[in-house]
Amino acid sequence: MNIEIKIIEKEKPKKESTVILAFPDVGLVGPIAVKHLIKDLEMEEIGYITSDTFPPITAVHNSRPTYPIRIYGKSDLISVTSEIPITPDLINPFSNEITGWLEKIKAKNIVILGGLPRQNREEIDEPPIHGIPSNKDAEVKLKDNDLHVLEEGFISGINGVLLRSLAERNVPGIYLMSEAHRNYPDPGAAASILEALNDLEGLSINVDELRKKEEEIKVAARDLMRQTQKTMQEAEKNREEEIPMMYG
Amino acid sequence: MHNEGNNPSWDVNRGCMDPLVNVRESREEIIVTADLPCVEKEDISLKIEENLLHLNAEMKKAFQFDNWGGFHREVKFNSFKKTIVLPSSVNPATAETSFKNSILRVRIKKKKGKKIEIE
Repeated sequence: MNIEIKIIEKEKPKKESTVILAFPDVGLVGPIAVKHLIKDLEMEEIGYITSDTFPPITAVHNSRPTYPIRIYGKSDLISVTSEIPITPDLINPFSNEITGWLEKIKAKNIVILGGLPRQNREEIDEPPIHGIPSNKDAEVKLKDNDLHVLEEGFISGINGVLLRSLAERNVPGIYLMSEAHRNYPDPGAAASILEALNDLEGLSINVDELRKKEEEIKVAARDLMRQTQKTMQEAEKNREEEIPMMYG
Repeated sequence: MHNEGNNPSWDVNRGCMDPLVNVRESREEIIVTADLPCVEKEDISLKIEENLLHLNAEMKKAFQFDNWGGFHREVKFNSFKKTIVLPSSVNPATAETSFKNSILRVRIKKKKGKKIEIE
């Protein structure tokens, strides 16, 4: 089946921007982080992503219908985030379309935000951050910022396919992960990843409010987490905790 | 993982919400975790039967989602309630619990089967 994904720009994104991508996944780290980033930096909606194959869901915000997957912008910063999980059947066409769009707008830096499942996460207060680069330039950037670079493992779901798609086109991108609860919303992990993003991209996102409202965010994010749990099962997310066969 | 089904995750009549829950089973025990934000340890009540775990937790403040839905915005949610079906029979007396950073963890030993000699 030919799946058409459409990226609609209501305003032209600035060329050579930094683009932050965040889709529902482990601990909803990316969407929680980007929701806060959009509010803190007062970013405006500049576009959306749609497809006839997406679930027929309309988000309502500020008494107006809108799309669940939206693009925000301010100056040379763009963020893309979603209020619905990306199901496995949509992942490849979705990733291809986004990567093509990132090339078209000549994105300078691309950072995908996500979570890395951590057993007994409640035992640690400051979850460590890890990164996977799409190419050598991105690897140097991670190391220059003293961030741990993952060497072996599996990534399942949208974030891994997006990163692979960037690597195939030699587009510099980083998949930044905070250790997080796999199945529970994790605003603490979202705050940690935003602090790492501040250092990596020279941003100044204030995470005090995010940390203060952790428990309230957990209550409000339960239903998206439930939907995301189902999608993660379908995407064999448990494979991320498997040990890869290493040799050599 | 526990199947949450397609029902709403809240009950407006009782003002309660379903907590997010996970159930894992090993050879010896069953481990149940639940995310209980806005809850104090003292306000959690657990009752374990043969293969059921009844969880009730009062929140330290009521939640009202002022800008959500129609009638929902008038509802105050003040507790988490859920009955979890365990995948095996357990011995309730063996239950060990912890509660940290809003995560409740319950470990319960499974009932041992009777060894049958082959005649």
